[in-house]
Order: sequence, then C-alpha cells, then structure tokens
Amino acid sequence: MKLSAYKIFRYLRIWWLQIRCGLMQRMAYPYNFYLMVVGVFVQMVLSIAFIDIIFKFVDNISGWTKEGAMMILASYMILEGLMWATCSFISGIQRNVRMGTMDMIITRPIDTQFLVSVWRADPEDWMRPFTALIIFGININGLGVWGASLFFNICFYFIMLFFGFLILYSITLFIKTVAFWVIEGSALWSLGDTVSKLSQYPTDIFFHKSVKMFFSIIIPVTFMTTIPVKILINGPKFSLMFYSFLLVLIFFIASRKFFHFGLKNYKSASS
Amino acid sequence: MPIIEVKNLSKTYEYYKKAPGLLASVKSLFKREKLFTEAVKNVSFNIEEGELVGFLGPNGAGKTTTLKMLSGILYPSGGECRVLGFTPYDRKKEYQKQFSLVMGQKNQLWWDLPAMESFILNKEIYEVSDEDFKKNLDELVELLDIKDILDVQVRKLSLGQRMKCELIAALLHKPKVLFLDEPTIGLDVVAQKNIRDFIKKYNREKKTTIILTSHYMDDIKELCKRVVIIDHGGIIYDGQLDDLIKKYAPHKVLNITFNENGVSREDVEKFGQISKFNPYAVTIEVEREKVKEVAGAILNSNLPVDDILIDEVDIDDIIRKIFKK
Repeated sequence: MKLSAYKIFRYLRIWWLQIRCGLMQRMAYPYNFYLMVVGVFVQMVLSIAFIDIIFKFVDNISGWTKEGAMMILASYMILEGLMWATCSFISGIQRNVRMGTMDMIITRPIDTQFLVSVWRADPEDWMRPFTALIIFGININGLGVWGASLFFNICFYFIMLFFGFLILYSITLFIKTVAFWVIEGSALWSLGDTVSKLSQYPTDIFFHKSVKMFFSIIIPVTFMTTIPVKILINGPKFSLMFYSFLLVLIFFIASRKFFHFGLKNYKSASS
Repeated sequence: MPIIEVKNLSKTYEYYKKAPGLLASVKSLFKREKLFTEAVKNVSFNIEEGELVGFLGPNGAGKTTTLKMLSGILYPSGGECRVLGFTPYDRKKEYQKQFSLVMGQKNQLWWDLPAMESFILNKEIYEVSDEDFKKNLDELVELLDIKDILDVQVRKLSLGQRMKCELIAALLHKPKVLFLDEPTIGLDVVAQKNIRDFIKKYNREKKTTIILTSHYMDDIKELCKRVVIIDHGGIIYDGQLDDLIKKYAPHKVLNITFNENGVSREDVEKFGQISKFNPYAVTIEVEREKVKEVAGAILNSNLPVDDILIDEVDIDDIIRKIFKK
C-alpha cells in the first residue's frame, strides 16, 4: 500500500515536472505563446458562434436545445483541452517512431506508456477547459435543473466526463499505436482528430440506428460528451454509468496491451 | 562473471525495394518487393566489469544496432544477450536504472530550456535522492568544467558543451554500464580531447563498464585497450589493440631524415619497402624482428642520416586495410 502511494506520488511529480518544463518552454518564446493562446481562443469562439448561429434558425435539434448543445461543446472543449494540455505527445507518436526519437523514452525506468503520454504538453490548451467552464457557467441555468439535484448531477457529470476523457485517450492511443507498423502515420493524426471532433456534437443527430450503435460500441463517442451531458440534464442513470465504466476498462486495458504490443515492433531509425 | 554476455546475437531488418520514378511509386502502392538485410550476424562477445571497449566499424557495420539491442531498444532476430544479469529487451525497470545510453547524434535534453531542468527531470525518473543528486552533479560539473553553462538554454550551447551536458544527464544516476554511440562526432579537436579525458577518468575512478562506438581512431587509441571490429554485421576482430597492430601490421615503420646532401632511391631501397620517398625524408617498412638490425645498418652506412624514428604503422591504415579486404 505504502509502495503504491509512493509510486503514484512519483508519477504525479514527474507529470508535474513535464508540464512545468512544457510551460517554461512555451514561455521562453513569449510572442509565440501569446499567439498560440489567441489562436486557441479564436478557434473556440468560432465553435461557439457556429452553434449560436444554428440555433438562431431552430429551437432544437433531435431534442437538444441551444443550452444542451453548448454543454456538449463545453464538454468537448474540456476533453480536447485536457488531451492537449496534459498528454499531447501521444499525438506525436508517429513522428517519433519515424524519426527514432522514441529511443530515449523506451530506455527510461518508468512506464513507457505514461512517459509517451506526458513527455510533452501544450500549455496554451489550458485555455480550452477554462473557456469551457465559462460556457458551462453561462448555460447551466438554461438546462432546467435546480438546487440539490443540480449539485449531484454536476458531480455525476464530471465523473462521466472523466470516463469520457479516458475513452478518448484510449482511442487516440489505439490509433497512434498503428504508427509502429506503418511508420509514416500522418493519416493517423487526422483519424484521431476526426474522432475527437465528432464528440463536439450530440450523437443523437445521427438518425440511422447502425450509426448510433457504431458510436456507442465500436468508437464510443456517445459516451465522451453526449451521455455526460444527458446525465447533467436528466440526472444519473446507473446502467449508463456502469456501461460507461465498463467501456473505460475495456478500451483502456485493450489500448494499453495494443501499445505494448506495438512497442515490441519498434525498429528505431538510423542515427 | 562477465557483466555483458552476448551470444550469437543477430538482427535482420526488412525494407521495401523501390525503383526510381513516378510509375514505380504508383506500382509500389499495390505491390512491393520486401528485402532483408542482416545488420548484425551471430555476434558473440563478453565484457567484464570496468572494461572500456571500443566498437569500431564503417557506417552500416552494425555497431549502433548492437548497442540498441543491449539497451533494449531493439529486439534481436536471433541469439541472446544479458547485461548485468538482465535480458535488455525485457525492459525491466531494475535494469534500466543501471545503464545509460548516450547517442552523439540524438539529444535527450529539453532544447529550449537550460540543461539543469533536464537534470531535475532525470533525477525524478531515475529516483536519485536529493543528496546523491547534488553530490553527483557537483562532481560531474567539476570534472567537465561547465558550471557557467548550467543555466543557459541548450540550443545556445556549442556542440561540445551540449555533449558534456548529455553526459551529465546520463551519469547522474551513476549507471554501472554506459553505452556511448559516437560521443565525439562533429566535435572540434579540443572538445574531443576533453570528452575523451573525461571518459577515461570516469571509467578509471568509477569502474563503469563502457562500450564506445566511434569512427575516430583517436577515440579508440586513447581510450580502449580492447577493440571489437565489426564489419557487415559480423565481428572480424575482438582483442587487445596492441595485438591488432601486431596481427595486421607485421611491419614497423622507419622514418628517416637526411641532411642537405640527400639520397637516391637506390641507396635506400635495399633496407626495406619504401612507402614514401623524397631525397631528404624517406619512410620504409621493415619486418618487426629486423627493425633494430636495419636501423643499425642505416646508421652505420655512409648515408647522410640526420634523424631516424622507429614507429608503428598508423592504426588508421591498418583499419583501412582490414575494411578493404
């Protein structure tokens, strides 16, 4: 027990040091840092404006009101922001496989998946969850939930959002691991990005049942943002929460095993 | 018991053949010919604790591939190896804490930050205590004389300074085994000497087992008593450097300078094989057993000798001959 607590603390400390180095690295070039922050902010403003414009013409889409759609967007921003702000290096796996720069990570006496995830981070992306919380605060009143129910719904929402983050992380890891075989995997980056972007819309907008099934089981985008926001609005549904937890376990364990299988295929690159 | 044991280690890479041209590129979308290259072929050697062994070979010989298998970066295609009792490609944390790899052409430090930040990160990753970190860092900084640059961005350092920082990052946790892959590549002569002096001193004081790959003969000559020569994936020599010279250079070299009177070619060629000739300076190769006798004969002759030096054949020439075979 004592050993596990020490291990967790050690990993958290290393994660903090990586984040710290990432932040210092960005701030070493102040103008670039400001531009990146502005760039991220503009991206988010455009996404918000897009939803706003659509709901000027309709009252709801597949039962989703403007406030609900904004919550989905905010949830997506939190997930995307956390992915880039804490583990952006995972998106660069294909580049590091191709260039052979994975060598130095593999030889470190620490879990390779952990180090690959946190080796580099993009601190400017903390703007996303920060902005998302503002959107959250503005639109929460429009959801029609009040008092103690709201408090509990928010708690369950964040638990489900955490599950959603783990699902997104696992799917991203799955996709990027293919780089160990294909080497030049820039297409993988697009694929990962597409999966992530799908989660900014409620999956109820897809009419066809098979599409909904696909996004619930095969690539469970539904459980990244749509289900957490539904729980925020309608309250906890324990069957859904349990299923979400099950998906987390399956995807996380499977992606980890797949990553380590891919690692065995790592061929480095010429020096 | 050897600290590094390698037995019939092999590594085969697969690659795809691609003919030049656009049509060939389109064809390769549908069908590609897979080829194999044996980067390392049945290599076997043992290294004892504290040895400093040089790996020498031309580009593509298999030196770096061997080091990468010993570091656990690559899985071998055949054979086995053990370092400190561990199988490297099992990538056990206990093993990874006891070795270090420095690659002259790859950088492990944060490029835009002072080297000190990378050292702090390595301290946590390798679980070095605060006390040991301070002690090791102070010692290494003093040995390498880089106190003034610890707070300078890595990207602003010279190549020599950066290599020194790379070495510190690799040695903070006091590894028992150190793999150095071309650590002096691209450095100027002064920086090369500094790095060599450091490696020699560190190996002597800490008894760290070191494998060093290099193209520079000066690295091997200055640092290694034992050398392993690899070519086309196989070991062609493994032994003492002195024995290499004796085995592949049965001759010694006599460098003779003459005064203003000079000599003719005919005057000198009877003493040995002339490798360089001008009337005032001649180099001849003589069999080892006969070199003293020949030197004496030249001095006792009526040739206008100013100076005579007995030397070994340049090891660069020996290695060149070996690789040409």
